[in-house]
Amino acid sequence: MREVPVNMLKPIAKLPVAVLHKSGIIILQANEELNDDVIATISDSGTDMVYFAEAGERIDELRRELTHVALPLTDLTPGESLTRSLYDNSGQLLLEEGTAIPSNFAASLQRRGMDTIYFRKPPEQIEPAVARSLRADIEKVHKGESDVAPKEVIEQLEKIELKMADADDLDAAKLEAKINGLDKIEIKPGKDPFEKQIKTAKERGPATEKEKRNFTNAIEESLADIKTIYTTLADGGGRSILPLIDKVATRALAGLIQNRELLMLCGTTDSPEEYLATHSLAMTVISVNIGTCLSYDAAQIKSLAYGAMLSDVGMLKVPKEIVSKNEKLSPSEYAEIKRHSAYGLDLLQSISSIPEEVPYVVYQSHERANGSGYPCGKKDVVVHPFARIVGASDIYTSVCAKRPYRDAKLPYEAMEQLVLMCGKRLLNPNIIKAFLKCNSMFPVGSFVRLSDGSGARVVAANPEDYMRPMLSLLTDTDNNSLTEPERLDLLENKDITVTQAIYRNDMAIPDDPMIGF
Amino acid sequence: MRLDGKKILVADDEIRLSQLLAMFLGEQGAIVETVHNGQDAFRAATMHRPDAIIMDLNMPGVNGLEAIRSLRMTLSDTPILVLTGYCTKEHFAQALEAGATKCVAKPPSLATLTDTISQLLEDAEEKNNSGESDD
Repeated sequence: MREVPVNMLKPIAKLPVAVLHKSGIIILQANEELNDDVIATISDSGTDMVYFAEAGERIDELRRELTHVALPLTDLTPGESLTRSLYDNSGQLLLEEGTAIPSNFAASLQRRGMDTIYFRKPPEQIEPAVARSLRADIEKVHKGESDVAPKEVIEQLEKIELKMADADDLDAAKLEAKINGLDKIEIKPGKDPFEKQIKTAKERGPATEKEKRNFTNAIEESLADIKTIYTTLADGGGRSILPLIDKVATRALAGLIQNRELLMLCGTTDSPEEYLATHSLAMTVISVNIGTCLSYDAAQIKSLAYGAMLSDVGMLKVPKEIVSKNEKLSPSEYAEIKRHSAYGLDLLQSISSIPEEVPYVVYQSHERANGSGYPCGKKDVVVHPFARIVGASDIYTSVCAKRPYRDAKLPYEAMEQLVLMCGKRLLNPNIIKAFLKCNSMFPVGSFVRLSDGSGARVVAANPEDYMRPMLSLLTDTDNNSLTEPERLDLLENKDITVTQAIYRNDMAIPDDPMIGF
Repeated sequence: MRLDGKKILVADDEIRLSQLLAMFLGEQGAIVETVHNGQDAFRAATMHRPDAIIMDLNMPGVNGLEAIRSLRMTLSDTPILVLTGYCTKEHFAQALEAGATKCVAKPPSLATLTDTISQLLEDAEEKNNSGESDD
């Protein structure tokens, strides 16, 4: 038998032998796969050591070795009452708990050639229940059930029915005329707010390693899917793309339900090379977060996700040299960029059917509340609320992203810009207040210095107070990294405040992108 | 002293005036920070949580009204005293609508300023206390 600490486990495609839990229960059979997900699952169960059988070793012997304590016969005192049952080396019961040890007991065993007897370890020491549920979890991992949310949740989200746009509304010219002819655009939140399905960070507690891995995978998958969506649309193949858009939107909603904060982490992307795709994903996750704080229902949030994902689709028609230009744009180049709103409507025509809100988002997300935006200079009352949400998400995620001509700014600076734009009446304050509710003034995922000098990461907003989010302390008052992040809710610790927004590099902390969560 | 230990943020692009105010309020025991535009005022208020803010209206970049509207989204209770050379009824009304607590014409008499600030701080404290007892 070989003891291996769980934190030393390495992936093995096909196990040569079985792996046991300290309870003697087999958690992995020979020939099964030990991959990163399985390792994370074992670690999440609180197990710190596993036991590999060795070639030729019998499992039942191994099991007894793990679950029994050997005792030399000489340790038995005749006449003493047993506190635990005694077994022989084959697992046969010799004497039951509570019995007094007969005076000739040791001698009779010795005559039979035995010099060792065994106690069973109590269940609280070997935790068989943990092993059984761990085995069930590992089976799930092997079956591939490791998405951001349980299968039933995803199935339910897939079934949400969206109201699709009329054929007329997919004709760009007619649509443009229709949108521009409206004197008020209003949509009411549905009866059943999606936010009710979302657990708060306090109810949920820190994320498990497995959950973090699932999120990392899901985000990578979504990014790959969005790249496919954009290249397919660029090639004029829109007709087949709806299921893939729905898949990404469904995953975003599932992510909201499971852990909206982890989902929000990819709202501050940092990838100038793949800007269109990362930016599109970032806008999607931020928009759905804002949407839930405005009490929209599941179908509304889903079409909001569609809209956010596709809002920059018109950029595909803007010449590449303008989109990726490193310097300041000339007035004519900027005019071409502004045309992407209308180009977006043209591109939507290639998708045979699309939720009715999407064209509004594509066309109107660059309008500003006071009428100073483009393409039409419309004021808020005639701009679709979803377009306002996506417009705000667009500004936030752009400021947070690294661009060819400037470094990424701090998420705090992005939030500050949104609030100041409300002060200038460029954005609708209700939309930004909704964003503050789920992101706080010090955005989820960002790093801050506190009034006592310690360093922390914002891990969740407190909707009651935008200035007092929930934190994970990462460094002490002397900027030394803590061995374990510690939760600190500023709502319950009013003597401490955030005094500075800082970069990750300002703290000497381990290189884990999800540290603190 | 009447303003002992109170943190006051002064936002005014007239640097000489803001220095004068800082000196005067400092003599009353206040801890004063000065900034010269609306964006810096917003950031200083967010990070340093002053007990009161004195705000000019006419500032470059983000002006006083815009800064007050922004501040009211995140700091609903901090008293904001507007100090302005624009003293028409309309300007005062605009400032109050944006979320200012009180408006005083520029230049203020120093006695008036101390009285007004002390009063605003007292009111805020009272409001805060009554809020807590409601819990």
